[in-house]
Amino acid sequence: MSTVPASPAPAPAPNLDLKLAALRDEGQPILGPAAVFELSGKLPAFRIEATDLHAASRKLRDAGFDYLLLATATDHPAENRFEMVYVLTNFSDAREIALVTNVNRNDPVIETVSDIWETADWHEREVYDLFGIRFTNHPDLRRILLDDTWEGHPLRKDYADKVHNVIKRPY
Amino acid sequence: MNVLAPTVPSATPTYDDYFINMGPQHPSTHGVLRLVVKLAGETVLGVTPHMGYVHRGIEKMGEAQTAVQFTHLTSRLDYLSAHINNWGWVMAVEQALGIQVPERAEYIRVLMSELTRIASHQLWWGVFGMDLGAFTPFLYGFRDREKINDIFEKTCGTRLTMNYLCIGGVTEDLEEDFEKDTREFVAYFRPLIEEYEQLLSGNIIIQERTKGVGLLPPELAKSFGVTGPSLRASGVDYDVRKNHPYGVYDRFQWKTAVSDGCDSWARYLVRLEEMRQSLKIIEQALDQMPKEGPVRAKTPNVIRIPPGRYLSRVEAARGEIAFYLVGDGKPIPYRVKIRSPGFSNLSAIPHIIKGWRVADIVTVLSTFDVVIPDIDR
Repeated sequence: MSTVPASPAPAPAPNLDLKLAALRDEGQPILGPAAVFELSGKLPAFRIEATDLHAASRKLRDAGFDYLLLATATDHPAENRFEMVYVLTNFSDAREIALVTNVNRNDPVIETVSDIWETADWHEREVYDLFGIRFTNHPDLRRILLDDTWEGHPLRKDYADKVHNVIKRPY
Repeated sequence: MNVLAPTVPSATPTYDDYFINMGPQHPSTHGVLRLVVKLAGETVLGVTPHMGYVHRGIEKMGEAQTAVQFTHLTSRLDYLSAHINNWGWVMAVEQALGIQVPERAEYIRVLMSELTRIASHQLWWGVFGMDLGAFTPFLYGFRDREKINDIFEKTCGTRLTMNYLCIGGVTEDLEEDFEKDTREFVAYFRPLIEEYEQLLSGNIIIQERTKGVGLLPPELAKSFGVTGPSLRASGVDYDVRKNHPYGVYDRFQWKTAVSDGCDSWARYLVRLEEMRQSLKIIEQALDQMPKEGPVRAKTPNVIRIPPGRYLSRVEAARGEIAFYLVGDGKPIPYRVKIRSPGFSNLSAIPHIIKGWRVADIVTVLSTFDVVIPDIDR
């Protein structure tokens, strides 16, 4: 591996390796200027408005990202928001990009993408079940892992388990 | 409680329409999965899966314990792919912290993962035979899987939920007999795959019950995010080990098992071929592995996950398992999301089972090889 002569490569953008820069340059024209490239940690992402999600998903799907790896949420109660994350990839070179968007925590509603990727159906049901985010136009929005009679949404940070009396440890 | 699922067309019920509960204790659901099956006589009009019977809230537990402690819970997702699940998790944390795993540990991980894959497919093969009414494969499959469990037990101390991989490498070096045992196993098992073929593949009943049954077209499979052998049996040449290589998988010569049959028979053949390919990888890994060296990188005393999003993807026995990790600078993850292969694979089943007979549900469930704790988490 060290015997391969170094080829003259273009200088990378500061703090961004070539693969990620290429991914950004590929995604930006598809999504338009409203999408903001964001690298927090190691997963490259585009931050978009919740209202643009469906259109952006459709564009990326048509551009070859035909594999929705996962769709999930993260709860940020202090900022009064949920963050929805959709990790898109494909079945050839498996490059991955995430779409992230904020959902208001007081009235969490976002449009479904299950008409674009069928697998979103169950992933969104899981988010609905565990976070209480509602998806408009979803064909079958029911709880999926918990019982229909369950109260609350356990993956919210402020969820208190009345049944099992689990005490949050101080560390 | 409303058992009428919206996916089932709400035609006027007739005397011939009825619902049956398949599960939660049905043996061929391979765990506690409940399928509400709408029938017209023997014909399936619709299937609605109800899961969550073994939902343990593993993702929520991940927000209450450290990244190191969480490793053992990943063994309990798909308990037949314990090493591979461990690998997915520790890789996410290693990526977050930028830990380089020693070379010998990388090879040990490959060896353990491929042995796990074979063991999982052996069990699947046996249970598949039993689902379709043949009892002998069950005994054969378990007999051979025992050899692998013995190898695991010698090195890891446990046989099923090993928790052997750890952040930075593996917990301990291999037991001294490992290489000898593994080479013996490879020599022992390679001819037995042919025996498996002779015993089951040539059987006319098996062929008639699987050929053309449960057709999963490639476009549907992709849209549902079906992965693993079930996807490759639909003609899509996608394997995380090839398409998104991790560890040292790019150093081995092997082929992904692909078939374009799209039916249960193709899924059966793909799994048999995968066992052969895994044996190849194991042999090469044993040859290439550095004979000594560190097996565990030095890690910080307290592993704090840096702020940000991280994603790791590995190929488990049933498909792609991904760990999405959000850190906020504390030892405890802010959020752990497990993308389990069984969850997405199962979601495709209701769409391909319509119009088939009750007995075909068993065939399709068996060739998708669902493991319920993996789905429910």
